[in-house]
Order: sequence, then C-alpha cells, then structure tokens
Amino acid sequence: MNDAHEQYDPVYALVATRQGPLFAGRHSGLFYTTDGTTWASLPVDPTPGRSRSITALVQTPEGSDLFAGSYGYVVRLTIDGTLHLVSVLPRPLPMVTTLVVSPNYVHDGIVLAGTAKDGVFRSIDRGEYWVPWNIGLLDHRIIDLVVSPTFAVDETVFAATESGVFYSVNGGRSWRMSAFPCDDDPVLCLAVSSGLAQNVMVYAGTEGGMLLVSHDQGRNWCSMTGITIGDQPINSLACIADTMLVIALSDRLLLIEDILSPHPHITCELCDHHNITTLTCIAPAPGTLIAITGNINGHIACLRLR
Amino acid sequence: MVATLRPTLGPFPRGVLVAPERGVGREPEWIDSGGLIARRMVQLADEYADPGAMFVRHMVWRLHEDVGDGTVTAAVMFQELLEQGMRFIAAGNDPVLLSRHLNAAMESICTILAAQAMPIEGRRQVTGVAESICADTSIAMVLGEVFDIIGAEGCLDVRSGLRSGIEREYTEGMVCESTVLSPPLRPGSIPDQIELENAALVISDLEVTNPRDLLPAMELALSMEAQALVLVVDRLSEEALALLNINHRRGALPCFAVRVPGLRRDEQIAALEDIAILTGGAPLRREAGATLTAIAPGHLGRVRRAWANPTHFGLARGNSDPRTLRAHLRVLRRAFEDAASFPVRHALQQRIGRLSGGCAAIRVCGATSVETSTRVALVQRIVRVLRSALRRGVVPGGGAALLACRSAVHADDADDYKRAAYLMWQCALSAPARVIAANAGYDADAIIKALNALPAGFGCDARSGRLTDMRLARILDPIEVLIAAVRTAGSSAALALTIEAQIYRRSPSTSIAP
Repeated sequence: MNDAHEQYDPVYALVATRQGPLFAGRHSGLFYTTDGTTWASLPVDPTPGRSRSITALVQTPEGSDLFAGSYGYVVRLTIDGTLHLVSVLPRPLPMVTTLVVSPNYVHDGIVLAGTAKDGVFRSIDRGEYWVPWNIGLLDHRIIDLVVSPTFAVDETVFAATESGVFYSVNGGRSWRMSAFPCDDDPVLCLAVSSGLAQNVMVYAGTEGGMLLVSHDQGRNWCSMTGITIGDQPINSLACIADTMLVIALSDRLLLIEDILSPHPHITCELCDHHNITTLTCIAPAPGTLIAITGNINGHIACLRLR
Repeated sequence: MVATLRPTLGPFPRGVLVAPERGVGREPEWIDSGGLIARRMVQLADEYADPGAMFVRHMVWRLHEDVGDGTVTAAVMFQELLEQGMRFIAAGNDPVLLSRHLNAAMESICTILAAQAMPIEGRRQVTGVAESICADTSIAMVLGEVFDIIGAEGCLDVRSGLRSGIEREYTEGMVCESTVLSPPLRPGSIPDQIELENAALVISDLEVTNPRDLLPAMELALSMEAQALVLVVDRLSEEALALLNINHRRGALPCFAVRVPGLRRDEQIAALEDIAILTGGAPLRREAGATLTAIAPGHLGRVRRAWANPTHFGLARGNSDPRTLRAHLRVLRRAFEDAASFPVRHALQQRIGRLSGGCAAIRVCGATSVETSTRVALVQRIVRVLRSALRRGVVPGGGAALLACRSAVHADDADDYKRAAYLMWQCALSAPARVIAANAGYDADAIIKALNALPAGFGCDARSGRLTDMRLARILDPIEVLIAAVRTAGSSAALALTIEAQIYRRSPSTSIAP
C-alpha cells in the first residue's frame, strides 16, 4: 500500500471509510487511495500550490464527511475529495494534533480539535467557527482526544496530555483532572469501548509502556492486569467490539482478546513492524480483523490480525 | 427584627423597602435578603428592645457574611427556641442547664443533617438548586450553565450590565484587575484593548526609573524568540514608558506594561507567585534585592496570548509545568479548607479560580437602578450559595431536611431539661417549613400535620402547594448553609437564654458595624 512516499514522510493519521477510500494524513499532505496501491494527493491547503502536514483526520459518524487538521486550520471535505470548508483557527495559530467528532454530529454539529500547545478548540457549527475551551485544563499539550460513545447523553470527552488524562462532562467546555497514577509519563493514546457490552471502558497507553484502564468514565485509572507489554511506548490503541484491544508499540503490534475478563491474553503479535505512529482497524467480514498502520517513515501496512 | 425578616423566606418572598438616607434624589432600597435587611436596621426606636434586636442583627449579619444564605431560617428557628425557652425559664428552671442541653441536641441535629447530604453535578442539578433559592428561572438557567463550566472554584465576576436581562461571557486564561501603564489605554479610546501573541513576561514588583534597566529584559525576550513582551512592575518612569511606547509603535517589540495586581502587599506577592507558576517564570522581588539588569532566561515567563484593557489584563495558555501547577493548586486548596475567616477563604478561592484556566462574567440589568442593584446582589448571594452546594452537597429543601432531623430530638427522656430542650428543637425545626407555607398562602398547621405522616425528605412545594419528595422536585438547599443556620440559631438562643440583665447607656452609641 505504498508508493514514492517512503522517504521521511511520517503518517500522522489514517481513516478507513466505510465507503471504500482510505485517507492518510502525512507530513507531505493529505492523500487517499481507493485500490490500496495508488495514492493521490488532495490539495486542502488554503494557500494555492502549497501543501502542509495533515496531522489529524476524522470521519463524521454518518460517513459522508471528513475533517483534516493542520497547523492553524481545519478543513472539511466529502469522502469523494470535494473541499467544503477551510476554517482558520483563532490566533496564535495552533498545531492541531487530534480531531474528534460528536457521535451525535448530525444533530449537534460538534467537532473538537486538540492542539500541541493551545489546549482544546471546540466548534458547534460543523467546523466553521472555533473557540478555545480550556477551563480546568492544566496541561495544554493535547496528544489525543476521544469522545464517549454515549456523548449525546453524557457529553463526556477524554483528553490525553503530557501529564495525564483530563475529562469533560459538558462536551469539552471545561475539564477536570483524572486520578491518573503516573503524571510524569505522557499519555500517547486513548481508546474507548462502545459500551454495548457493559459500561464504557476507557483505555490509555503511555510513553513508558503502561496500559491503563478506567471503569468509571475516566475518573480513576488502574493498570490492566494480566498483560505484560514492557517499557516500549504505546503509540496507538484501538478497541474493537468491546472485547479486543489492538496495541501499536514502537516495535510490534499486539492483539489482546477477552479484555473484559480477569485474564486477557495476547492472541496475535506482529514483530516486524517498527515505529508505528497511527493505527486504524476494520472488520471486513465476521471473524476477521485487519489493522492498517502508518509509521514514521511513511510506510502504510495492511495487517491481518484475525 | 425577626418579623421583618420572616416574609422573605421561601420561593414567594416579599421584599422590604428601606427608606433612603436623607438627601435629595436618593432612591429607596428594595431588599429580600435577610442578611441585607438586618444590616439596614441599625437602631430601633425603643431603647429597651434595641439591644435584643441588635443581638439578632449581629447573629443574622454574621451568618450572611460567612455563608451568604440561611439567615431567615436561622432567625425563625432562633425566635422559636427563645420563646419556648423563656416560658421554661419563667417556670423557675435554670437557663444554664437548659443551654447545655440545647447545644448537645444541636450537635445531634447537625449529624442527622450531614447524613442527608448528596452531591450535585451537572447543569440540570445546579439550575435546580439556583431556582430553589431565587425562584427566577432566567437567573437559575444562566447560573446553572456557568457553574457547570467553571465549577465550584471557578473565577466569576458579577456586576451590573447595560442591556436588559442577564448575560454571561467566558474569558480564557487568567484575568487580573490592574492598571495598564503602557501603552496608554483609556476607557472609550480606540483601541481600548491590546493583544499580544507568544509573549515573554517579566514578573516583578520593581520600580523602573532608568529606561536602560529594561534593555536586558527586551534583549533576552528577543533572543528567546518571543514575539512580544509583557512587563508586570510596580511603577515605570516617564522615560521607561517612552522607551516601551516607541518599541511598541515601531513593532520592534510589541509590549505592554501593567501594575502588579492587588492593593495590599500580601495580595501582590500572591499574584506574582501565581503568574510565575502559570507562565513558567520566576518573580523578581524587591525584598530579595532583585534588579532588572540581572534578569536571566529562567525569570521570563511565556504565554501564547496576552491582552490588556484599561482595567484588566489576561494571560492565556501559559508555559507552566503542569505538575508544578497541580502541586500549587493542591497547596491553595488545602489552605482554603483550613482557612476560617471569610476574607481569607475568598482570596484563596479567587486565586484557585484564576489558575484554573478561565473566568466567567455575568452582567445583570433591570428596568431601574434599584432593580439592577437588587438583582446584582441576588445573583452574588446565589453564587456564594451555589459554590457551597457544589463543594459540600445539598439536602431536601423547603425545610424538609430540618423536619427529618426531628427524629434526632425525640422527647421521651426522663430528664426535664433534656426533654424541654428537645421539645424546643422540635418546634424550631418545623418553623422554617411552617413559615414557607404561610408565606405562600397555605394553612401551615395543616401542611405540617400532613408532612408528619410522610417519609423523610418530603416537603411542601410552595409553588404548587403539593406535598412531594423534595429531591425529585429538585427543591434543594446547600448542606453547609443549613448546618450554619442550625448552629447559629442554637448557639445564639442558648446564649440569649442565659442573659439575666441588660445595661442601657445614657447616650447610646451607634455603629454601622455589626
């Protein structure tokens, strides 16, 4: 799934749309592929002829639109590549690191952007106008954001920062500190279960290789028992069907099953994939699970886990 | 005194009109807060009744100062305890023994009250508590939203506005009240606000007389790739101001200078410490012999955005170490919990709010200046009560929680004094619910009789007249306020009952202080 992008061209974000195209946010811009081999560039930079890094990508829940974030702006485009909106964030221009969309986006139009130094920006009009909302957010270096699957009811959002996890219970307008056991270990990624099987579980992976779980909507955190990962940074996480967790370490990819049981176990370990920066999972057929990974050298791989 | 306060209890309060001070064009005051009414009653015409009235005034005003509400509840309970107690003492019983039993029963009541407390969270619950205090849906909804965002510790400014109604706005980052020294900004001038990006901060309480003293800081800011400079100083000479203005106008180094926030020295030191922690800098303090010429990179704080207008300046997204900031907030919160006096607690709460990353402002305006000032005072009072409710929790309102405490003072003891004290409390605990029902135009005796047959937590919803579970009806009172009211009424009545004689002055001295 690669072409000439295999020089220094980190993949920051991947979105596998249900309709088919796979989008990749890279250092060199936004790219997409429909056949898995040929990549095409999508010009989304407000300045014509210029291409900036796309550091965050997210698809809207109904699947029609895609948001891409970069230094100082967020764009909204349809999955056929038509650019709808280029929205410049309030000055001083922030670097967008992560984007999330409300599961109730069709009705509330809420999009949140995490930034490298400027905290969280919130839009309630489908990405057109952005306002910083950082009340209670003591660390403005946002690495990852996830929203609760029951956001329409509980308005809960989680933010991973360099000094722990914060949560919001009012749709990202104010933040509270979690009781996080290691505030000197940057949290690199978060994942949230769908909450269909039982309560919503939130998972966090840290730079020091700690895998933590919260059973109470992000208020308290504890280490996941029964899983030994080592001290490799956990770069990306994905929770699949509430019972499986895919973990991208800097030197391998793991699939953990039965994560709700007292004895979760690693069922698949792929060791020849290094420096994975981002991960997305798809289940094309019942019983199968495919992970699509991007790494720091721009390599995008499609790996069968089940 | 209590008769004047009594009509203001409950969701249908009637106000008290206070005659204006002598002078042409003065307006009368309309008040429905027990604490404020008591404050206005400086002296009674009857010199024999005046000491007793001032005793109650002191009790009510002190409660108003400490917790902001519960004054009328305390006053009606006090009156009930005093009247019952006087009858018991008139029958030849010892007031000191009675006082001891009153105080002992008070502790049992507070324990039962505390056990009923439940936390509140979220916009809906906060709005419910606000509405049960003020019976004004528009104020309650705005306060519900504001407190859902800023929390119990958040920074909130309430003042009169220009447009009719109630408005709110949120400001990102730390906001401090201070004077802008440079560039010159005056209210109404254009521009009346200056904004800087990626600014370095000099955090000091120094007096800068020689403009050359500023050069090391300016050079250091440029060498650290800051795009602007903010100076927090005590004073700047005309020459130093001119240097900053020239650099600002030419765009060489956009900057503004502000005076150290705070009037008292301890306030200024606290402000410097907070700004330093929020921006990752270090304060240069004159007591430590610091000078601007010896400034080092570690002294300069950094912020992503800084702004100033003629009365305030703000710092957003400072370069703080989150761990240091958390540790600092922990220290402030501990000091807040330990602080006993209201001014100290208020100052600490403002510091915690300023460091939390944002401020809210509420602007209230009425049809007349009397209505505006009344509504501002009402909102300020509710704000204090809501902070207390968010911190300590709430109990069923409308006097229901106090009615439920009557089980703690069940009068079946053989000791006469204990039984008398318990009976006094039984009457006092039902007094607030009785007054609320009467103020709403219902038969208080019938309602209390009906409530006696219902489980704990049931009360009379004065708006509909129905007997209901107050928790489900979202009629709630802050636990801290009720406990303070019970303690104030109990201890004041116990003290008042032991008064044996009064001494009158030939020329009574007057004071507006309680």
